[in-house]
Amino acid sequence: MTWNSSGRLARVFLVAFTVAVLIYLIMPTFVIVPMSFSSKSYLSFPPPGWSVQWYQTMLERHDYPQAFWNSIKIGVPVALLSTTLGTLAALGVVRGRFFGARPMSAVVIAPLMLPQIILAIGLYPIMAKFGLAGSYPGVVLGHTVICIPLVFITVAASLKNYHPAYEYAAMTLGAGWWSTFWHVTFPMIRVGVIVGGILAFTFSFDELIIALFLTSPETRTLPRLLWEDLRQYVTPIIAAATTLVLCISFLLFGAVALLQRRLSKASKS
Amino acid sequence: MSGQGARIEYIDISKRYGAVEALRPTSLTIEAGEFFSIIGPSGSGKTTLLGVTAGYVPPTSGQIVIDGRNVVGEPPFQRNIGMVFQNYALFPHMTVAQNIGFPLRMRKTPRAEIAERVKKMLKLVQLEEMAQRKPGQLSGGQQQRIALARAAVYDPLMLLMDEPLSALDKNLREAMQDEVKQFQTVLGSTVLYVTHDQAEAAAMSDRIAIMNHGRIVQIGSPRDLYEHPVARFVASFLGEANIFDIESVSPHAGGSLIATRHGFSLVCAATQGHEGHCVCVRPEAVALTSSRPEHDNVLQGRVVDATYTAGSLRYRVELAPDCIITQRTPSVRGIEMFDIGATVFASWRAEDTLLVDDD
Amino acid sequence: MTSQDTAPRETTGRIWSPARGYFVILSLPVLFLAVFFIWPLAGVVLRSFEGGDGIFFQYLTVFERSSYIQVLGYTLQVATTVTVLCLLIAYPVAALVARLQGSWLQVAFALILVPFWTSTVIRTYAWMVLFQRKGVINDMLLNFGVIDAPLRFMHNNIGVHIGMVHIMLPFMLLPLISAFRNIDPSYMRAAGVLGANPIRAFWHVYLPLSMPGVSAGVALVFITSLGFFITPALLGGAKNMMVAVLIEQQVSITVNWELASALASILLIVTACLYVVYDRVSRRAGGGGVLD
Repeated sequence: MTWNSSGRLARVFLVAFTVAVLIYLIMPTFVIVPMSFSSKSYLSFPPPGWSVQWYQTMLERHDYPQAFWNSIKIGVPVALLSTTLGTLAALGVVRGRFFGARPMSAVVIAPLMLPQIILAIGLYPIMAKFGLAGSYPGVVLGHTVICIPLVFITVAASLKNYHPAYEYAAMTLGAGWWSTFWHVTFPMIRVGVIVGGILAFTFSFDELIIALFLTSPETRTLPRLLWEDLRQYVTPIIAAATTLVLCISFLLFGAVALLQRRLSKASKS
Repeated sequence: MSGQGARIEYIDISKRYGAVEALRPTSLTIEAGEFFSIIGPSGSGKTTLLGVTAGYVPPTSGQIVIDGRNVVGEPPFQRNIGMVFQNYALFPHMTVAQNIGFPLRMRKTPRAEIAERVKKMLKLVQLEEMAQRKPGQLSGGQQQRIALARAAVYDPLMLLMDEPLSALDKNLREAMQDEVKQFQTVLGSTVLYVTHDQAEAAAMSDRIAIMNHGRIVQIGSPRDLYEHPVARFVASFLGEANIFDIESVSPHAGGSLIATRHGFSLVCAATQGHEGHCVCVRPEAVALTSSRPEHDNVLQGRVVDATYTAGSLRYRVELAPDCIITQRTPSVRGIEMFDIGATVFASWRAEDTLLVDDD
Repeated sequence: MTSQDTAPRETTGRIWSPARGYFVILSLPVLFLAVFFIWPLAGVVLRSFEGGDGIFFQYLTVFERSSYIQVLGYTLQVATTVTVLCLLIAYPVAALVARLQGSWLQVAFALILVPFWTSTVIRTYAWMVLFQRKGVINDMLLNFGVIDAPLRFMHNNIGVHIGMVHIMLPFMLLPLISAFRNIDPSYMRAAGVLGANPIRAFWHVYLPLSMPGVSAGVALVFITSLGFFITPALLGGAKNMMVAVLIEQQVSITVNWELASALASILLIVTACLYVVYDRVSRRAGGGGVLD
């Protein structure tokens, strides 16, 4: 066999393997979608018949709508707070260049690398001490800790895309700190900031471990409710709720993809 | 809009980054309305001096007095100084008009007045029809003019320019030199211009400071610096220079007699020569002839190289092993030409034997 | 002007400087993290020294009880296996994806990023559905006659590994793809022109150049796997428990905060060490640390 033909065989094999891996990445998640429309209470694939009864059941139960709204009520403030703090951190680290900026940036990134269970059992007693355990502010603060590095990374990347001379220019032209940020820095990093905010919301919307420790049955988020249900019985209601969450996630994913495409087009022109 | 340039005085201004002295204590006065250039290689401290003046680099010590007021410690946005950045730093998300109007907006100038002054500025730089374009849609030269307009629209005390022409190609750069100079003349501004291109500085400036290793080596008019360099660095940074190392100096008939390291003996009109000096001879001062002339200094050599560039002939003549003298003459019809390998005599006047510090 | 004014003087702390402004800007988020991140972690470490005879009581308990040692060992073993599997699967896939152009590249990227946007709870739930005794996988295997009786995937090693590799794979793929895209294809052509056969060219040129991506991916996957909770909790069995699951159980079932804190402190120290080592190595490799 010549190099050429064995090379072609290897290439075909590589392509087939890649396709298989991509299917492995995507497919399991989407198996849930048809199951949520099953007419029977047990999960089998393909479903024996179609109906929307599980969506009806889900909406009739009060806990799913409540958990859904809780997730929104927690995710939005988390996105706002972590976007503010993460953007400030990125500005300080990328533009500051003072002694100690590097260790400080290590502190900012660290929450992302650390197992969340450690933070969860560390935060619980503190929140309990201040009467915040089980409250909205408690879980919002907890999620914000982990979302700051998400925003930090995206905003730092867009800050590195342009030279600090723009900010110095604004300042020599008479703009103070706030005017420089608002008129010059922010318009340039806007996409990075918005993407960071969406990432933060998505993270909070999907997060389980912190929510397990810091929410109560009243402030329980959707992932926590799913988790509690999963440990008891696997019914198509969960599939219905899951399909709903998937829709929201993909809407956000599409928004980010569009934003980033616009950004790359803008940087080309 | 004229004659409002300020006088600026630097008093022992310095900047240290950790152990690195980017700018040694420097004192300097720039007169009102003067076009003052700083030239030097990268890392010579010229950009630091600019940053310190603009205010975004805090100095380690010293004062900067502009029209009698010490501005050290003030943030850039309170200094009222205009600056043109190396790549213009025009805000890409704003139109040309918004860019030029930005400093006025920051000063809470009424809308109508902003529009009027922006229009006036655009007229001055001849880009009125570009007002609604974004900077990305302009050519390099146009962006350059918008950057000038933006830096000057609020009548700043002085204009700082950080290698503003370095991003342009050669022909455009030369045309822009005239424009920048004319712009400054019309406005009467004081300009501090930083560049590493000595020809550019010479073409525009009233005075030039040459910097090296964080300090100013010499200040003077372009002609002064070229004809009377004080140091070897100045002589070789500004134009071309033939440098001879000195072995000994002795007095000689109203001047001095110099023995060089290569064993030549040169006559010099200056009397204060000493061993810490070296000899500098400009290529234009040297004459080449095929027969030995009657002249103050005559050295024999062999032509090793001849090049022709835009109106001038440049010869390199080997006087001794590893000792080459460069000669340049305007190329005019009927001039005597030499072949490579020809034996020639290089000669120059005693006044053109310059003694400079051997740093 | 007095002579005092003109005398050179060290400029004092009142001078405006951009660095000071950015320091103030950075101090706000750092302060927030000090309160809601550093303080909780310090609390965990402090609590791990309480609740027994002697300050190391909890740690002695952990290292004396073979069941706890087993959990730590199993955690390391799973993290290692998952990392190796991810690397073996992701390397060829990333090499291919990195060479795609235009819309094919975008499609591949979308497929890799979609799981990123899907909650781990949901993806684990999907595996639970697939792995059931009468689930899709068993159905298919039975229909094709590969097996005679349904296999057990859940509550054992297989399920945990398949589920975790599925979740960690994008973390390995993305750094690898970015490393591969930074390799100039002319290097491989040059190696070919210089007489190296494809295998040698790969070994001497491609592999060393891809190492920054490999180390980033390995570090990311290994560190994240060590603290994994959801997947092992739902797909794993009672016999094989990972340390994050044990910590949660110690708190919510046994209510032994001190022991849980000791286990968490061990996990914290291991993670932090790996993080620091990885940052050093990646910076020495010239790729810039994770912090840059």
